[in-house]
Amino acid sequence: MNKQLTTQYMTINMGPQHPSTHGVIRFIVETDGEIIHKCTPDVGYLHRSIEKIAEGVTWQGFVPYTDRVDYLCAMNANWAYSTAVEKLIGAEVPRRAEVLRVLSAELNRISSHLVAIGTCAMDIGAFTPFIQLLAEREYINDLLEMLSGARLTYNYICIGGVMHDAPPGWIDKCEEFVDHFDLAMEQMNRLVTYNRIFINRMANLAVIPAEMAIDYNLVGPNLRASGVKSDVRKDEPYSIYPELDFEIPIGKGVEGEVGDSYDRFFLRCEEIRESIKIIRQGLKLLAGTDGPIKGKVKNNIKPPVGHIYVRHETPRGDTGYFIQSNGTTSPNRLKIRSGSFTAMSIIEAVAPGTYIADLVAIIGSLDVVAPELDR
Amino acid sequence: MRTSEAFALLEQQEALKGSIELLEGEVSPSIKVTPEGLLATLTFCKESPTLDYKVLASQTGVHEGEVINLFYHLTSYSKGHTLAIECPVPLDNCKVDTACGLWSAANWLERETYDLLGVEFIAHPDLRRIMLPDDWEGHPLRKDYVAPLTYQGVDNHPTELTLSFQVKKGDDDE
Repeated sequence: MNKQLTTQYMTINMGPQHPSTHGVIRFIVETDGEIIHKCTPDVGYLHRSIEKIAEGVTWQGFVPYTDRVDYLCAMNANWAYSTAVEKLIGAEVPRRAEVLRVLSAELNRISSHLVAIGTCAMDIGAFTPFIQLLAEREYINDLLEMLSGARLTYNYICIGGVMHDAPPGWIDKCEEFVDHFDLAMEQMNRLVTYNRIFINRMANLAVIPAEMAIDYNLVGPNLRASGVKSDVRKDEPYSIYPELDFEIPIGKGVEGEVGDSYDRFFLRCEEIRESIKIIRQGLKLLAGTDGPIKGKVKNNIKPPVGHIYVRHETPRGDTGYFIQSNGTTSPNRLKIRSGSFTAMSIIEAVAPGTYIADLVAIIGSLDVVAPELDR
Repeated sequence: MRTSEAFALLEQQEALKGSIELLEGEVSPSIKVTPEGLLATLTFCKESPTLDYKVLASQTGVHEGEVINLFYHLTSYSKGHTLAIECPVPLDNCKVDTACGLWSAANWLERETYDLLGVEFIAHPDLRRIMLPDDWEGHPLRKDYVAPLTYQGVDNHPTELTLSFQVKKGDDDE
């Protein structure tokens, strides 16, 4: 009996319709038994040609479209685009508007991270935390609904300021939420973050070293989890962030190597804590600031000829808005460089050698949001 | 570091003589490079210890008349500065060297530029369409692009409603 046992690679499709890809993404996976030999992401299923649409709408008219670029952090997208246009036309933003912008964006960052860690846990089998975290997110949605009237696509931050002032009682409601949220996070941490089963599943999985993360241009929590201390809010401070006291957490390899999937998960939990810190300070600032909420901006904006590249720290990291104006009522070219795009491209490099079931955990830990990826 | 300082450093390079030019824009200054000098400029930006642009933040292009103007946005985490590089590629010879050898991030970014603007990147390891289906014709972000009226049996004729939303170019009411 000296027969050679041969195995052969098997190509399987994961997606486009798959519950754990959060949107329509397809992976062409070549497997060697249970182990991934090659994984090619196939993206573009959610391409809505938002960049082309931008060339046909007015400058203000594009703000609602930025909501749809990444529906989990619409506020941050509104803000990034508005800042880019403000820099082009040289508009001033009143202080009260800046405070409201920081508050709403940080609330949105928390709600986005809640979905990220909730779905990450759900994808690998823990269903309860997802429901718990979405329940917490409802409170944030309520707060943002009080501000903007919408629960998901806010269209709140506009060129020159914000759309509406905080309604009476909003600050109290916010404080109530922040106090209650600390307890909720503690409960969540006991349930998932310090859960041995969860840790064993995530630690040392898909380790991304710092050089590789920089080479692939990972941004935001994914980059910081690899030990690179880079945050646009600190590197190129904008708005009132220089006045606020907050830390930039980086990956320390709490349960395994620096830059593994658990680090990326854990870092988001820590960032939520920092955002809560910012909100506490912001609420104090808001109570002590009066004045207009919108600067003087013409209805028919025509920025001077030129181009600009603005970086903004959104929940999925450094989002770049490249805008080129040729002096007319709509952008000549607009490009959105999103964090999910580069996070997706690294999967091809880190997936080989892992189990098929781990691919789900990798996608979850990288927090890829399909509409932002495809635009 | 300001763009002009980075330009002064690049200008000292013998190999780049004549291929780079400083554009002092109103909002964002940038360095303009010829397609022939692009790869050498990018390599110097990455390798030079004073510039140290280890990150390719964004790569895109704009269709302007007879050229596609490529934009490279570089960032350095260690030095904390950014740089914009422009490279006009003529439409009749729409080819330029790939930056994949310098940054892995260039792979997907260049695929997107190829897909939507039709710039061919020489020696790119995997130059396929990324956003659009493989059998799509044309490059939508070019200004002369006309959307197909049907695709795979899907009707795409503009209705009166969609036409009514289009912005009239050169509208001058204040």
